[in-house]
Amino acid sequence: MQRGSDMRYYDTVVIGGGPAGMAAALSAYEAGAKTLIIETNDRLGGILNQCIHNGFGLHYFGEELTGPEYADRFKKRIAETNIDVMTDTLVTDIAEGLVVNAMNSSLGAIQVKAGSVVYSLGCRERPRGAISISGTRPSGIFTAGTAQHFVNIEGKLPGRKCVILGSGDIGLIMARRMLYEGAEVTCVVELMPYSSGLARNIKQCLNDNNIPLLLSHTVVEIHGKDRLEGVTIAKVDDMLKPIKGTEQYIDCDCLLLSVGLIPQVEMAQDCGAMLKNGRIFVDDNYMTTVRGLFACGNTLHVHDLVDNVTEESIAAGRSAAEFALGITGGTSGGVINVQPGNCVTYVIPNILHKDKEGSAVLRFRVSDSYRNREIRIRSNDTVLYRKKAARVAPGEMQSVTFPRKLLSGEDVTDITVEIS
Amino acid sequence: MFDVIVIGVGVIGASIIRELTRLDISVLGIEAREDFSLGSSGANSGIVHAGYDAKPGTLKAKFNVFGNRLYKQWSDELDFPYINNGALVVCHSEDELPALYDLKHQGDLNGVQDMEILDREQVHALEPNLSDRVYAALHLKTSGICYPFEFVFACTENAAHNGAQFVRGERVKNILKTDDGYKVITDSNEYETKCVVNSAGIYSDKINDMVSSRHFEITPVKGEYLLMDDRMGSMFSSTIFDLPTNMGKGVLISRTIDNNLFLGPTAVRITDREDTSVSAESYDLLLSQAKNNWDNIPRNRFITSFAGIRAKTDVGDFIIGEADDSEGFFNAAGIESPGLTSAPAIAEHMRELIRDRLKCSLKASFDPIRKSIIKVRELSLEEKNALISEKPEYGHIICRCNMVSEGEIIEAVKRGAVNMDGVKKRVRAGMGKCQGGFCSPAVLDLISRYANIPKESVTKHGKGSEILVGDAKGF
Repeated sequence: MQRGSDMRYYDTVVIGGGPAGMAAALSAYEAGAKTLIIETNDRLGGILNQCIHNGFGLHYFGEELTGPEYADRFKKRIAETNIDVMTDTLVTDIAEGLVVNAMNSSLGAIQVKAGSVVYSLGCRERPRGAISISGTRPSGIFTAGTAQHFVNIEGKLPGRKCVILGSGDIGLIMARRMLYEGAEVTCVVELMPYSSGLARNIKQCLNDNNIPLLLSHTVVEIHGKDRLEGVTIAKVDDMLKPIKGTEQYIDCDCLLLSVGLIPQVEMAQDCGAMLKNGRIFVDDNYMTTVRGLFACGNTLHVHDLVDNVTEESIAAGRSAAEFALGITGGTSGGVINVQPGNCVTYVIPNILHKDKEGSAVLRFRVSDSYRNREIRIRSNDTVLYRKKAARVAPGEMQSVTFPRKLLSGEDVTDITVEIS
Repeated sequence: MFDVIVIGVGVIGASIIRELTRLDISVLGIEAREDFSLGSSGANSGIVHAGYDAKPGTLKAKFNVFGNRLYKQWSDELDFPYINNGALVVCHSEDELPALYDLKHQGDLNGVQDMEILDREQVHALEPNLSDRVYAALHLKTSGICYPFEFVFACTENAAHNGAQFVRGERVKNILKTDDGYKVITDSNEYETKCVVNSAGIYSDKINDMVSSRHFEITPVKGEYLLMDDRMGSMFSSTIFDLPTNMGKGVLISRTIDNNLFLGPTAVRITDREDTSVSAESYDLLLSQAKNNWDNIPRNRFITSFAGIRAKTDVGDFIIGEADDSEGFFNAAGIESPGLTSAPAIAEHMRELIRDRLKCSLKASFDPIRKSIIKVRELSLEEKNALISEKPEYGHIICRCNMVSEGEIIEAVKRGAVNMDGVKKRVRAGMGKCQGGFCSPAVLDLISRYANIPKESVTKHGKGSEILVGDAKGF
């Protein structure tokens, strides 16, 4: 490819070559689009490359794979296609007319005109500063993913005596990893009265290793001038505020923070994509409010299972290709607004097109743990669809798939997804 | 034997050394920390003050106003970013209006130009995001912002280019009078010199006590800040001040060069001069003070907090000049706010004092120009391509949040960065929304390779703050 000035053209440009981007690219390619993946790291795979534990692919492949093995399945398929891949390349912005600006060492600053763009940048980890833990700023404080990179990719240990804040899956996995790699793991501290991690991770990472899980606790202060020396933890009340008098000092040289993933929405926002409650607003083609810009994967909403990322991204990639190739003529049949209702925090997608055929898939999360309820889709007072749910929890993304003909009534303009 | 040794290379020491290299003399700067700008000079508001706040007739007032006028020229010559964004000192009721007028009057006495009292409508037209509670404001057009650490590096690099020498990681333990001047004894070396400049900030009283019996005390007063991400700077284009109190200028809301926004500083008396922790109480205090001027502060936009320590003297002013009982020993001590603003003026003044003491001439070869490390993010498409074809490492972006390239990080190490904070302060890698989450492994790797130290020895800000502890068991 030539340096600099010539603008390249692709039907579909996929930004981000992690599990979402790889699945979207393959899907776009299979739908006939000339496809390019642009990836910042030196290889495809995204975060899967450092997730050396297994548990990936149970649904999508029917096998239990490690992260790298799951990623490899897609890397191999991509290698067998004409999908172009640029690694070590950063997309700096998406300019008017879906012109993707990017740069790398060999080609310099390039521009790629895209028929459609799949935005699959994933998330960044919430840093300490965003949760305002008071105290000093020594070394020894890492977000869990960065620590995971040091351990699994570089073979380096970030500390010898660990406290982990946050019992999401990354925190749980790293608790076990640090233990296996020679560190002491004193405890996992969790702000909420429940863990948001997968049940199997709580068992396999904590219970099986006798690592205590302190629910309704948080870290209130960090100590140590140069290197972390300890943390003060405290119990929290119903308002999640630390309770005076419950403080405990824990000696440690390493604090891992697993306190949330933040979708990297800023670049999409900059080119005009609308957000709803912080998430990129999409329709059931995974198209954003910017024509030809599609979003999928963790950048759209944080998933627990990569299998769902794959499914979602396959749909997004196909829609992106069809858009670029002019296969979908644009929709004419009217739209249905999708809203989260009772006990549901959000639903994706935000809009369903009435004239699409087949089934619709809605993915959502609940606000608390519930047993023996029903998931309902309601339009005004009419329940259009119901599904029994023995157990739902905030830490496990829910989905419903239902025939679109249920939505065909003329008066169906808004639906609510709720828990009974 | 040196002509001048400058103790403490913060904003004051660095700018003095730069000015001293205009003279045909030998200069050594001694910095206790492992790198420059790791102390208070790297952790303050970065404001180039207009000068309304200092008491008339004080050194603070004089040097503030002169320093402010020099900033554009220094910024142009030394290639550090400086934005003349203006400031507003706001009040919240008619009762407080006289205080604003008093400040303006004080500014007049200090020689501050371009000041104007704005009424409610004018204030809100200028800053629509200010709360309705703001009644009026004093607008200071000469107020500006800069990065204090870039100011320091710009001065040290220009000084080195003009022949100054530096040592880092050496703490001065004692200073002895000799026949020709002084012997400065650090924890690892001894140096002979004709003159000494004391710009040791929070330790300037200790240095002074080694030489002079004209004792003064430094009271360390901590200032804590909360920083928001680099899209928040658009909330307020001017720096927003409350009316000053007797503890200082109060809590500001200000944008930064790269469009971050910060709240701060607090003013907390401390006993441990190294205490740069940020307390929970201070979080709450800063938020509640900022609420006076800003409704609905989005708490999910904070990315970090930091603190610096003011070198407050017991005499209420800067201590600048030759000690009257120690010829050749010059103090530039107790430089708290408006120290950053005053630095260029203090530096010129100190240069003249030393020129007079040493009876030396100007150096014909002095070059005032220094070029900063290239910022790839600021280049046009054509400029990027020209650079990358010559130096491909500038095309490989390491810090995604701030678009900082491998080339810039390598250059930072070449220019003296030896730890993560040093790289961060020179080129911004790790200062963004992810706070180093993505880039710190790569930055650590580059420091290890280009500073030639094992990965386990790479620190955050000096010995004792190593990032990694060793190999993982499985490797």
